[in-house]
Amino acid sequence: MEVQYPLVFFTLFLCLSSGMLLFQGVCALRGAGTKKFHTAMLAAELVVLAVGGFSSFLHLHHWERIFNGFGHLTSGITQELIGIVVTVVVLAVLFGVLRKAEDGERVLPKWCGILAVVVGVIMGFVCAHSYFMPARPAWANLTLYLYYYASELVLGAAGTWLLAAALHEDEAVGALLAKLTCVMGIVSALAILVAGFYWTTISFGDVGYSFHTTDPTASLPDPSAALAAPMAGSLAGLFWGGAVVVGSLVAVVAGFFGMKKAEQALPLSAAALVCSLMGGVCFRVVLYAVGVSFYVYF
Amino acid sequence: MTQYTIVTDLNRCVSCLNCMVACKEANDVPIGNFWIKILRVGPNPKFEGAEYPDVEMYYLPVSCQHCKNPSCVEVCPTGASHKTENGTIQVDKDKCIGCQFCVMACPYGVRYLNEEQGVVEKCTRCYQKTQEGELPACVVSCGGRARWFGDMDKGWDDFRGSLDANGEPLRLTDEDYIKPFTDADVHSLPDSGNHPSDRFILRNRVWR
Repeated sequence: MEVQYPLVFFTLFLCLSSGMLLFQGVCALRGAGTKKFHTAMLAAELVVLAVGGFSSFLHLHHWERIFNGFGHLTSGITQELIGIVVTVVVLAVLFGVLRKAEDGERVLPKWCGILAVVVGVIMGFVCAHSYFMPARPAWANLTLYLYYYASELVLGAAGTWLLAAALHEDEAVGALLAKLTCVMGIVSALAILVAGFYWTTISFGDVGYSFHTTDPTASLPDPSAALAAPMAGSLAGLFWGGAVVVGSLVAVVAGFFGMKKAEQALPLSAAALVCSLMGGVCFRVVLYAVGVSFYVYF
Repeated sequence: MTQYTIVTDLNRCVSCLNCMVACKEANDVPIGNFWIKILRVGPNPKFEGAEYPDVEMYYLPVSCQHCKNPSCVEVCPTGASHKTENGTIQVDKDKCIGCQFCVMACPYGVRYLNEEQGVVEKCTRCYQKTQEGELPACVVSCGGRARWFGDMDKGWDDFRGSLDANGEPLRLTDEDYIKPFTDADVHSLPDSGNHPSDRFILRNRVWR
């Protein structure tokens, strides 16, 4: 399937925003982070969400009609739209709580942390669920959810760590976020490998020789080759180099060294975030390439 | 209940492409888009290990299958894609936002973006004709007299095809004209849970 770049960037930034909200919730639950840090996190999450939302609008041919869309609840786009509105409301609530808070032991109460984590978890599911389509076997399975969650977690951890480093948060907070980035990088790499392997096990119906009257010179469809291309084919560079090494393992290495070298936190976290974003784009491009129809002949 | 359906007798389809051309003309389908298209299946061995001339083939005309559980309707955010009372799936162009999720969700690749209008289109079963009691363009124009239109809920008796010498539509149950078939000869496209409504008759061939 042709890559829909606006949707690639929409899901990328949605995962980043939701992931940062989730890890902000983790920090809040542990009583970590200053008022300045949490305020900056909320602002960053809102800006990233807006960038993602703008990106999705570029995909639509009649974006002015999108507000017709709140009533059709089975649609993934509707669910995302509702999820984004809920996220914005939660950001506003957290901002309201923060305004009254004073720097000290705990600037966000525990219920705020729980709320942020819950919304982050739900948004990861909603993001993946939009693309769960039985017509496309590579998307219609648990690996889709696994990957989108992994993407949300590695992006969220790296983004949160970057902001903490930029605002010179407490070393313990920085070390915690570096550790989380390292672990989430491993989770991301494993999720990608599981998905890549699973795709190679999907079987397709076969009509044998075929000839398409609307595209007479086209090669015979070979869906199995398309699904094997990420592991060992034409997409191996994007898959292994882009999604696994750059998109996941750089975060692992950066997080690992970041735990020990707090003074290097800013460049390490920046590298982790930039590479995770690049890897996220690579994997999403691969997702479109393997998203062939289960009846591939049309 | 009504379920407007097209049945194609694949033993009669000669891939003349009249249905494709008539559809283009009747519905002003943009260049590069096809609301109906033909796949030649084969030549394939008649049995395992067979070689020429023990091969067989058939032509498969495919348009929107007007599914009973349509994935395109499920993913549409605005309700533009919807199921009508006669069982067909239609697109309300005034509601379509051009997100193309229905294009992704359709297993048969029969939905297209109209670039000029920024909306998704597909076979309407020639809604403008069938509402007036006429037959869809692909049925009337079928060069092999292979396509039949009717209400599946009323049974085979309801299916009519291209016109005979007197200008009356032929009937699928006309045994003077249609070779007999059994339930085992009636097929549908592979189902991913969408339950396609169109049917294909194929006798003495392996349905692939």
